[in-house]
Amino acid sequence: MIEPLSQIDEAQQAVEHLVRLIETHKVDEARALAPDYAARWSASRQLQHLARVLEPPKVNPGTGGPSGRSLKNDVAWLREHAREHPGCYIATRGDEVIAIDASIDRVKELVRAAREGDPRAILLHYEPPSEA
Amino acid sequence: MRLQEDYLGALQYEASYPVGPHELLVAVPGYIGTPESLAYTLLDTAAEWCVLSAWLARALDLPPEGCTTRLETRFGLFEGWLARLPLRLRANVGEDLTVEATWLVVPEWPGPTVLGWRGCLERFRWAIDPDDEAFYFAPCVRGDSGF
Repeated sequence: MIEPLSQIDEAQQAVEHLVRLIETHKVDEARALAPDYAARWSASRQLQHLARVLEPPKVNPGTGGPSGRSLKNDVAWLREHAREHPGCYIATRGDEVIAIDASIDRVKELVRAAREGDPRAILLHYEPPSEA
Repeated sequence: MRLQEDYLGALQYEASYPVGPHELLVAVPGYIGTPESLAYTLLDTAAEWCVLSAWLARALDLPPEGCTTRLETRFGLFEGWLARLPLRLRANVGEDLTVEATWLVVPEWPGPTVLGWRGCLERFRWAIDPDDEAFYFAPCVRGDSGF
């Protein structure tokens, strides 16, 4: 079903109103209005999105995935060597350096390969390029 | 006075963690959006929103969604969009906690990834012990503080 133009205009005004509230730090007001706006203009993807991101965060205990471990060795290495690799992504697992590369795709590939058979957490760090 | 609070888990944070020109005074590690790898974030209770660093946004390959929002920061005015991404705090002691947090994704953000107040820190119980560099966390229990 195609919405009448006036409905689209109203939905757009509602989006702009919520964004204005967010940008002026009136987030509680935006949170109060967003569910009503989303229900009223259910075809507006922007209003559905805003209602979702303005919802208070949900918190859940979680289990599974790589186990928690000390990152002291990773951090010690990064403190000493990360600056030698400006503009690079660096992945470490304890004493092991999994990847150092400017391409995130390459690093992700190496991280995936390293995770097979070893569930320990991998730390990802990005060293920004040196300032001129 | 003696106060007693329960926490679900604790992890070790890193003090003064360097990321290029930035020093993360209290750097909390977490899985953001993916279980593949974790990254350090700056704990910043004065930041209104969590902010995803440009590099992490690239790593997560996040497409723009929703509408553009502007953020006034100490680095200037930036444009981005709000996104919902889980933050998993992986416990060294006790149990993990996952927060379905809201992040401001700013492709041009020059700073580190920030754990801010709205959409994240405001909704769970947390504490730090500088002596052990421990970050404790738990779901909130309404009325538990006796206020």
